[in-house]
Amino acid sequence: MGILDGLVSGFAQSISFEVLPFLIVGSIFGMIIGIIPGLSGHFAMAMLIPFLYKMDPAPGIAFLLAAHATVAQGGGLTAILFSTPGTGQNAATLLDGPPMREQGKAGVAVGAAMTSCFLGATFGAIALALLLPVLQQVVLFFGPPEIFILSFLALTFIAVLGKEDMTRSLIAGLLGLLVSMIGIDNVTNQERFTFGLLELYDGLPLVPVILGLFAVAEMFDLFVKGGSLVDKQHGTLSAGQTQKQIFEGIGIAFKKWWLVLRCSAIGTTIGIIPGLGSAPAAFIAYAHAKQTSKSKETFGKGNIEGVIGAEAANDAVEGGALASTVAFGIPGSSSMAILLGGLFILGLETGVDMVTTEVDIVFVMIFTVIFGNLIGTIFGMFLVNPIARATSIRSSIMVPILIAVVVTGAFAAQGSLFDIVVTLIFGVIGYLMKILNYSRAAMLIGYVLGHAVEKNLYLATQLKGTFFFLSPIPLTLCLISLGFIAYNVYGMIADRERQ
Amino acid sequence: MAKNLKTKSAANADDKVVNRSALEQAALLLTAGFTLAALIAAIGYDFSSSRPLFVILVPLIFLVLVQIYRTMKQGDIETSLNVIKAALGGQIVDFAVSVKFFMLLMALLICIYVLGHYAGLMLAMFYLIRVHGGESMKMSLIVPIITALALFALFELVFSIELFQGQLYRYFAGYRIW
Repeated sequence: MGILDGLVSGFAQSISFEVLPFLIVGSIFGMIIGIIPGLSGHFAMAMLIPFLYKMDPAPGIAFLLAAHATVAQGGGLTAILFSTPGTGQNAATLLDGPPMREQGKAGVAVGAAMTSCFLGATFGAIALALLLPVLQQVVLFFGPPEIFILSFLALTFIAVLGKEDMTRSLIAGLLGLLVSMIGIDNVTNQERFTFGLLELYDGLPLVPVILGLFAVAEMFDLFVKGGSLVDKQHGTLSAGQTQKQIFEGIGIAFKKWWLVLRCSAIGTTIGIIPGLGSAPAAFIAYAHAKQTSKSKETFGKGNIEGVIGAEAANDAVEGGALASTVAFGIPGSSSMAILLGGLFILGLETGVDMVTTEVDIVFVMIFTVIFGNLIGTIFGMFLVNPIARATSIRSSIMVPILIAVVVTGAFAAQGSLFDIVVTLIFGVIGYLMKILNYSRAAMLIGYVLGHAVEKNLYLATQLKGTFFFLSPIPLTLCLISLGFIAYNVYGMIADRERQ
Repeated sequence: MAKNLKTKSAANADDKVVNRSALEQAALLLTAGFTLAALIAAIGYDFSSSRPLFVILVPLIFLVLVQIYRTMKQGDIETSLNVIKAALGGQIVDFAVSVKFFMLLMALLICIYVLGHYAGLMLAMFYLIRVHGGESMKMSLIVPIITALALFALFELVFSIELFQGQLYRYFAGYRIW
């Protein structure tokens, strides 16, 4: 399928009656999850995964990705109104958002943040569309040996660049790979770690693992912490004033289009690199906005450019992250790993097929990111006050409701009680990892990549023998991985000696 | 007064670090045990099936040992053992609450198995909201009922997914095969 055909077909599917309702519901759901502190993009996606079994590819993708796309918008809203970032990626918005609220300009900040998110996401999505012809060529150079080594390179990047400790993240990633080996080996019919349990013959099911690691683990956290989700409410805005300010904020974001463009470019570039994610992108964009501003001294005291820069980069990351996920099947973050799992459930395979024959699906993703953010912006603009009330729900009510949804989702995926058991076990593992600072994203990415690692290792040894990694591209990727780890270990040792 | 409060919060923070270190040591030792067992099991597999396992397990065991060494350097074993004993004795609040939550989830699973999905969920939700959360009776009844109705509408009506009806229902419906 050509790119133009894919574009037209993708657009037509995205606005069709089969897809649009799911896109709208997904966007609103993602926004509400984003507003609630402690629940993030991967949580929103994890909750929606069980529904995919009954859906066609286009509505399924729209549902899943729209929820993820609007989480940052919701999180930005909470960061500005309550000084609590709804998600980690909105931390940079805290620097200038709350000071603006204290100056009585909360509506302006919200309007500018929402619009910047939308513009950033649109930039990222267009960048992905423009990258497609390049990806179509590059992906042809990547056979089994290259994909095998690339998987390890991605895990290395995630471990080194992630916010957690490097050794812990590497352990988590390898544990994820190990967990994915449970079940019957497709090549030799060998049972591996099944303990004779029939339920484990097909391996550990994806949905319960995702729900456990991300949803149940958060429930544990909420249950242990207790109380309300936001400790202090700083007073919601009056409806009339808010609307006026929001439109003013939208106008400012459009006026600062050059800043939005530059910060979006930073976000998209960072999104392509596995492991970095939205939070560092937002901080780098914030630093760039400050550096290039004429009023540097007002940054941190309520400068709207700080809000615009951080929020634009936040959402522009998605375009870049999607590029490596759809082209190579290498997810750069936990959300992308869940998306990859969702694509498997929907019967889609990433890689050459995705970027050459199923271009329409890639464009469905692109339009979902754009439309999802547009819906989020419109929805957020008119319903700021009612949505913000979601943060005052007590955890004593929130936890039981979420538990009910999670348990039902875990069961519904395959109609098996065993899946609920797996969800609970992975909930405990996820919670332990969360409090001990082990990367759950690395574990999930390892788990999702496990099948590709095994298949490509087998094919690589069959095609090129044991020393397949000495071919030019795999060797280069190997050297980058090792060099990257060595550089970081050296940096750690040097830091310790300096102390 | 303020100084005392500060000292107390610093002591609490220190306690949390020690507790976390002990928990990590215990978790790592458990992981080391599992990974070694996995390595031994992998040796018995067909070579094609065990090759990816070796690729994963060899660096994993090395990294787990490195991490055990790092955590051992941070805190001595005796302190960790004392912390673990205190945790098992229910003296560490966060750990006790986590265990309680896990037990509640297990109880929920048993409720679902016996009573069915909706009845099990409503019972567990009522307990969590009323007994654990201390909410009003009205709230404790309304929230589970509305949640169950919403789940029924979404799963059974919209997606045509039948949720588990429970062994009790199956028994009275004439099923006698366990």
